[in-house]
Amino acid sequence: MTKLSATLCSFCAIHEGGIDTLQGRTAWEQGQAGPSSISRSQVLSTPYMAFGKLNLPDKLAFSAAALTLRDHTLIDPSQTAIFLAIPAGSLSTDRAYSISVEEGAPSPALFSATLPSSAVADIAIFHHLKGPNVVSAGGDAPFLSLLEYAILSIGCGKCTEALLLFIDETPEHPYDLSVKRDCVIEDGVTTPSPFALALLLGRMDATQNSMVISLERRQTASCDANRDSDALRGLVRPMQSGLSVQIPVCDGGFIGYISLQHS
Amino acid sequence: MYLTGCGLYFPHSMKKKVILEQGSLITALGECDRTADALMAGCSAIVEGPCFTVPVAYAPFEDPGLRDPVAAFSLLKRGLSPADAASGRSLFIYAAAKGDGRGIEPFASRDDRDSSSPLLAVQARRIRALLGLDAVPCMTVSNACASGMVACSVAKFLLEQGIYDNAVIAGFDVLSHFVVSGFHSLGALSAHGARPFDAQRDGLSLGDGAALVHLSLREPVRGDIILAGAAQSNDANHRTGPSRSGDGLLKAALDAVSDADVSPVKIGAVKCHGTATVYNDAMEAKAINNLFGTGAHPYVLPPCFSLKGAIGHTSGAGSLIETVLAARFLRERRVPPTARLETPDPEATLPVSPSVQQFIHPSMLCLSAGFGGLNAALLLMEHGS
Repeated sequence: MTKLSATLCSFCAIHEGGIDTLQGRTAWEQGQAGPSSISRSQVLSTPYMAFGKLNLPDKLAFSAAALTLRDHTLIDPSQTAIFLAIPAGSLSTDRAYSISVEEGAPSPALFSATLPSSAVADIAIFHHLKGPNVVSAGGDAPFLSLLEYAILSIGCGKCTEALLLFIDETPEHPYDLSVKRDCVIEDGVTTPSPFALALLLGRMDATQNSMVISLERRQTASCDANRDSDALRGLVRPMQSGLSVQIPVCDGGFIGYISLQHS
Repeated sequence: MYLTGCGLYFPHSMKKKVILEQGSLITALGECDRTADALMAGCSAIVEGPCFTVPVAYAPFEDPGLRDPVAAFSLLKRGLSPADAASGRSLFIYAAAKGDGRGIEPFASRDDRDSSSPLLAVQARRIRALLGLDAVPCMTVSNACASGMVACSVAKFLLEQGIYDNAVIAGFDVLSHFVVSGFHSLGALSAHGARPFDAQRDGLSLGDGAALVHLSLREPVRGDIILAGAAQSNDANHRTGPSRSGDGLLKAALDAVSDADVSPVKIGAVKCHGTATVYNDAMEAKAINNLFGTGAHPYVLPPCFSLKGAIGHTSGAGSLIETVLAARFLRERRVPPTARLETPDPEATLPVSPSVQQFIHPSMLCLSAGFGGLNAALLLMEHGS
């Protein structure tokens, strides 16, 4: 099938090793417990009251988006899309809201954050992004499916640029963890820790000295199983170091390769 | 002209036509035929509460057992041919805001024997298996209350781009203590029942709902319903409330009309989101008025209607259910009365249907919106008319 490509304009990965962007890696400060402890000052240089109120998935999404867009001027925010893959949904927030119900005081703020799409709102408002949105709460290769959709959308002019996000929360509560593990077992792979990835994609431009991200579907792949979240983790180092890489993906009904090239 | 992902230019006339092959649904008014007939008769399934101990009106399934997706989709799949749906390259999309409510209930309300999962991805795979589509790639779309229409939009685009030949979309969202208490905590629910576009409207009524849709790329014949236009946008304005200006919904509507390459003047009718909250209906009226033009020479607005005074707001599944019903009404060239509308809001200045109304142009615009400032619009057209 056709190889689909887009320019990778900017990126941010938040993981247990630190925060990776085009500018390099920032390690967690002493005493910080990885992605779940990310602070506003690591993301924004100005105060933002709402940051502290965000649940973990929304905070990771907001942070990854802000760091990706920090040094990039968008062509047209009103035509910039946000595509979010969030396979674990909002398990921890569902639990927190349920507790507020049982305590007799359902929290409207928590309830509004129990929708997988809630992360999109904060990003759209903060960056004035008014383009199309798709939120995928799992399935076969949820991120790569959206990557394919994003590249096609840019190519067709449905958006000028696309902010593509992958958020993988690891719930703290044992029950929620077991629920997630049930899901993961169906996929055949485990998920080690919270992980957030944001990619800003733009139209292919042959004159640019840039990174190109490509996706190619195949009938078969050279691996038995490789979830897209694992493939994405494999992209982080090459994105930062300038290495080209091709990673096979075999995630349910999605079989193919994701690759990164530096032109 | 538009640019494809492969970098080739095709005029609109060469664009592949995505056909809404068949749709089945269950609402508080029953299955598809019963629901459609009851809507035309002006019936409402909304009853006064309490609903899960919350003092609000709601629109429940006649049989609460249908809140189990296995039961619901066992009914709905009767109209689906797995062989047709899985022929060629096919995609399965599950569209839901919270989906199967049992897995998200507060712990005291949860049945220990129940093994349903709160994860939409797990729910999606179970429904896919039930439909006999195990070998088909699976995707979930969870764009809050606009999920169903966004799923249609995603499927339409991927079919047009040649990635798939068929798509099956399952929408499912049901009443639960979790969801009802949440909307109640936001002050969004009416105690006595939703009255879309009414001057006295005071909130929405939640409902149970499920739908199943098959989209294909086969050669259309006269009378087929084509998914001609689709678009989404974000208000970038507020986490839970709609933009007061209606600009976001207007943008989605304009983009959908442009995608279909038709003029707004050729739109036969508008299926509104019409939740019956004060702000949604006011915002939507502005968006529709602006779409059809304001000032000295506005177009004549086509009949507009909302279904939520009859079947309630069925959340993420709702926009899929309403798309199936809109397709049926488009074939019949008539729109149902907007149930529970008594005194039209004079500020809305929309021709909201007080009774069954006929229309001429073979197209219908469907609008939807959701938390997060998410907007979606679809333009349905009857082929060959």
